[in-house]
Amino acid sequence: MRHPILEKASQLSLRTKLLIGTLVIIGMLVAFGLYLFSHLNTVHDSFLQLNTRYARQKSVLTLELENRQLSSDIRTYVINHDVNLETKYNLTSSALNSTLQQLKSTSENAQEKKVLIDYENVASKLQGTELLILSKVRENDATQARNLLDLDYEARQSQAAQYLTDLINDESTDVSNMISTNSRLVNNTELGLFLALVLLIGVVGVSVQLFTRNLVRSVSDLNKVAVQFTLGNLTARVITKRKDELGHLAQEFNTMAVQIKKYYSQLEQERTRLLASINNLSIGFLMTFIDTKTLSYNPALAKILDVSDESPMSLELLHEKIKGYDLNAAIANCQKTNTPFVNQEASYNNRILNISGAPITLSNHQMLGTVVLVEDVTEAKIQERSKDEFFSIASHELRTPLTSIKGNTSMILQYYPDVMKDPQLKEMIDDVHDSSVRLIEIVNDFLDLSRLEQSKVTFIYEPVSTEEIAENVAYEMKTVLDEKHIRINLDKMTLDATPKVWADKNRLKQVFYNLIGNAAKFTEKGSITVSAETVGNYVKVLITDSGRGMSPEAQQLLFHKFQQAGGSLLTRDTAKGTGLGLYISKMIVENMGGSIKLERSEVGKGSTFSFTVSIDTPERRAQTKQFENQIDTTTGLSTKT
Amino acid sequence: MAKILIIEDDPLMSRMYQKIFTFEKHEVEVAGNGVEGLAKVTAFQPTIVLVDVMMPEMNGLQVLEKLKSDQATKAIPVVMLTNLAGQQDAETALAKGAVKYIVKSEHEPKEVADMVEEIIAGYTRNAIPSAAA
Repeated sequence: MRHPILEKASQLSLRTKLLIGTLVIIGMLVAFGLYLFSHLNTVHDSFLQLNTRYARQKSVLTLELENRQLSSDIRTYVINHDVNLETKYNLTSSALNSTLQQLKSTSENAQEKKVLIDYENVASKLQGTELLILSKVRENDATQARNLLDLDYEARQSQAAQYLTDLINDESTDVSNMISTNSRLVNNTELGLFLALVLLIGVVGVSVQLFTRNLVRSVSDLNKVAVQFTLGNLTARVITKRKDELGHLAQEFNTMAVQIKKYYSQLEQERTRLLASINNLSIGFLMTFIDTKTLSYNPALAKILDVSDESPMSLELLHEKIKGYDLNAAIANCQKTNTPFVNQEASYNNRILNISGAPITLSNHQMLGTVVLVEDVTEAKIQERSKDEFFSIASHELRTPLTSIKGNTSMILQYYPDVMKDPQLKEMIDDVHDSSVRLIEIVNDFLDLSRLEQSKVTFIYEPVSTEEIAENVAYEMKTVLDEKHIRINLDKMTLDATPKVWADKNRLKQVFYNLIGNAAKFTEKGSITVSAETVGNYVKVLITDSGRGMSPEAQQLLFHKFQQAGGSLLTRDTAKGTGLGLYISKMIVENMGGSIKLERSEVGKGSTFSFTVSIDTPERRAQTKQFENQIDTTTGLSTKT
Repeated sequence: MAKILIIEDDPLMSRMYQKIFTFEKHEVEVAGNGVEGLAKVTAFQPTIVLVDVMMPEMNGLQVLEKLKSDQATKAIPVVMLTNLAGQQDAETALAKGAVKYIVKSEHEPKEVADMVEEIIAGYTRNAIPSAAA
């Protein structure tokens, strides 16, 4: 555990640390400067002192000189009696005195002062003597004058000189002491400065080192983690205790890393899910990309096209594998024209594939490539075919024995008149024959209905005149209607007025047959009227009978399978057909784009049925063109055999 | 009195048509498959041939083709019999040279006989029979 203060210190921000550091360095430099300054001051002072000392020494020497001068002057005077010398002596003497006074006054040393005072005493005695000599000389008492220059005088001179020598020696000692003190001081200062400089450099150097190293380590740690992260280790994080700017950076980095990892995980997860869903599809999935020539495909595709791991799929292989259908060309075209394509029956290796492709475009309309779905529809096609076959087989298989029954009974009736004389036998054979006829009808109806319901019926459209059809049907049903004494009126005017319709002629006829037939069935006597009118884009045909009519309950049951206007199951009038007629008509009419309904019905009065057919227009023709398929109308077999 | 060859694999049907033409006093020969049928055409030299469309091994259309491509037989009128009322098949048959296309279940045997006699009489080619109404 680090010391709490260090701990606190390390948490300061970098800026603060730098500031503190700078202040410290400045402080150190200032201290250094002050130190230098004060030492230099000291040295300066001592030099000043030296200077003073030197001056003093000079003064003392001057004193000495002056003294000697005086002495020599006096001696000369005594010899020469030069009056000028007196003036000179006076000058020199006052000079000496002033020098002496100056020395005295500026003396800081008690010892020195004492010596100076002693000297002063001696000097004054000497001066006294000298003055006396002067006067004697003036009095021309040379001998007296010369006598005054006696041993006392000499002794005093020597003493004076001695005093001065002492002074000088003291001064010298003082000076040399001072010099040595000074040089020691200077040396110390030099040493001190050197040490201070070293210390300064040391401190600065070390602290800068520590600081930057700490910084660099943190930065390099961050860098290492960043590199780790870039290389793919998304869990790499920066570990730091720093609370300063780098600490913040580290935290932000970590936060960013967490985010990136999260996004990456999300992406990864999505990718995995997407990939898993594509790989788990049972439909073959193939993608081609514009920029690379590679393909991506899922296991289902590989299975369907028999692609092994050793020879992975390529565009060339693709071309090879699907015979008779140039998938590559389809893909290329798809990309060029930006439209999807489909081939519902591509044959490959004894299997049938449904291939559909579409271009892959981004929202900015940039095209990335193509996606192709390949589905093995062999089973479905087989089932379809078997359904097709069922219809044809059923129709054939059912009809054949029925035809036999019908044909044979008819031949019995016709060619064995003798045997048929027996009314019971004849009736029985009649019944058998009728039954077979009815059965054939039922079979036909059932098959027709099945095909209509499964939309296996193709309508062959052409312009049809409703009037013409009505006339044909009326003519063909003449016998039946005459038998029942039912009149049929074709409202030629209205029929004529309506335009031609765009419909399947035979099927339209079938509807007419059904409705007129029904009208006949439910009319004991009276008439059936067929008329038409134009309603919007349709021709509406109306068939009215004057028959029994239907109750509201019975009306509910219309157009449903097997429902007869009789009510319960037991009151079915099986002689009146299977009950499929209206339903089949409904299917036909609706398949051709129209509608059928009961317009009105009143018990005892009769009913009116109506149905609509599209008028022959270019739009309607265009619409039905799309539905044209090559499927046989009645057998449901594909005409491509 | 004509010579009628019936090529039909279903005995029910062949017996029935054999009867009607016999009752109508014609000479009838029957073959149970296409190959036998072709052989009998050569041997029997019928006035008219009735062929069932749906037969195993060689179907009626194939027999028709063979007959029409053979110089010796192409003049003989051929009528297709079937219980498939297929528009397309009818058209194909007629295009290949059949004179008529009859849906067995829609006609009594007598009607068929009448139609055949009519053909023999005049080689009339009728309109395609309409789908079951």
